[in-house]
Amino acid sequence: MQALVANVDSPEALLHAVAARQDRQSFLALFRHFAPRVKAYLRRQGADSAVADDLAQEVMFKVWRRAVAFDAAKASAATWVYAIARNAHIDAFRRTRRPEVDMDDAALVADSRPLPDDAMAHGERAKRVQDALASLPAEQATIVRMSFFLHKSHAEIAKELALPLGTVKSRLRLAFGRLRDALHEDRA
Amino acid sequence: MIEHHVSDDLLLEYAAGALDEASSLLIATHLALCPPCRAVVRDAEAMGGALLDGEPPEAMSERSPNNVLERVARPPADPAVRANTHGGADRWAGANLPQPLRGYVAETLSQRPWRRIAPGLRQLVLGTASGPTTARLFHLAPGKRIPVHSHRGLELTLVLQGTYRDECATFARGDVAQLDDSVTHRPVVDPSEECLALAVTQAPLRFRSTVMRLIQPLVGV
Repeated sequence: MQALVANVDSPEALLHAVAARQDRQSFLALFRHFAPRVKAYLRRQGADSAVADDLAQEVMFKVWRRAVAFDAAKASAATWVYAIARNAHIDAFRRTRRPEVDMDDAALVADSRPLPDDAMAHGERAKRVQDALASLPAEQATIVRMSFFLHKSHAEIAKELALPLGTVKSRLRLAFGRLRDALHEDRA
Repeated sequence: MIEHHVSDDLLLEYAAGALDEASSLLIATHLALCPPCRAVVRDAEAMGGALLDGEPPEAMSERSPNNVLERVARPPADPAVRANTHGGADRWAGANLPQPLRGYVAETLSQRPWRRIAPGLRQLVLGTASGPTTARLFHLAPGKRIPVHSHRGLELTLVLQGTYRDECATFARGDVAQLDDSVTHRPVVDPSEECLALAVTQAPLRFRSTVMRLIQPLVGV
């Protein structure tokens, strides 16, 4: 257990504390970190401050409710919160549903390859992804941002940047390759 | 074993939340059957996570943390009403279909039945948001041949039961065929088993035969 205590402030450990014992202090720490970032993300979609504030609260409410489903072997806390915020954005602004895999579905084909047992290392891996993202050439970083933050299709990005569609796709693939290398560097 | 996967480009667009509902439905259903593609989407979402973490924070209202804590202290409302998964008498609403497709099919079947559009060919247009794409289930009789056609824009087909083959390959449960307007093909269902497939089209199919083109508006493909 001592090994975990060293990481007690990581967002992943905080999420586990919320899941395991509905720990309000841990939740407040998560709130202080993520809510202002979720709000900033929603403001970029054009939401005014009050709407973004309400929706960020909604996202944090879901973080509390779904904390038990968080699996640090599969994603960092930031990635998990991102997925919740992205779906809340689609629901609220695009007014369509977001079809998602149901991991509890009996018809789901389970992964036969075991996931690495390094749950707590995920926070560290998230840091590496962030470094990789920061080191992307500007032409790739712009497209990653337009895609993952503004949720524009590759065709929309191509049109807006006056680039061939193939160029948009290949830049995004290059960026993704760099990030995958950063994510799996220790597994090579 | 799934042999035909969704392209990384589409998985990236799905992970980024940039796809329409019908295409997302097909991809999410493929993901339920395909662990390797799920791993790609997880990695792609990490890009969104890193962006979120790097975002300059914008101050939340003073009341906001307590608002949420008060809300979580209240007893939970009824669990989110998921689309009915029983689906009445129709066997295709059964457990053979993975989520999220099963929910969409059950919901659609509670509103309208399958429609016969040709001998040995029935379709069910699923209730996704209106837009440039349509998601439909096709039920094809064993050995059914679909007339030669090509596609305007992208077409995705996910096989859920049975197999079919065209000039290029054979497709079985979980396989996705990704076709664009450069492909003209003539799929044939395996004679030993009926076939169920989910198709997402951006525009009506383009049949080569004049007769098929003439009756197309009548049969609705």
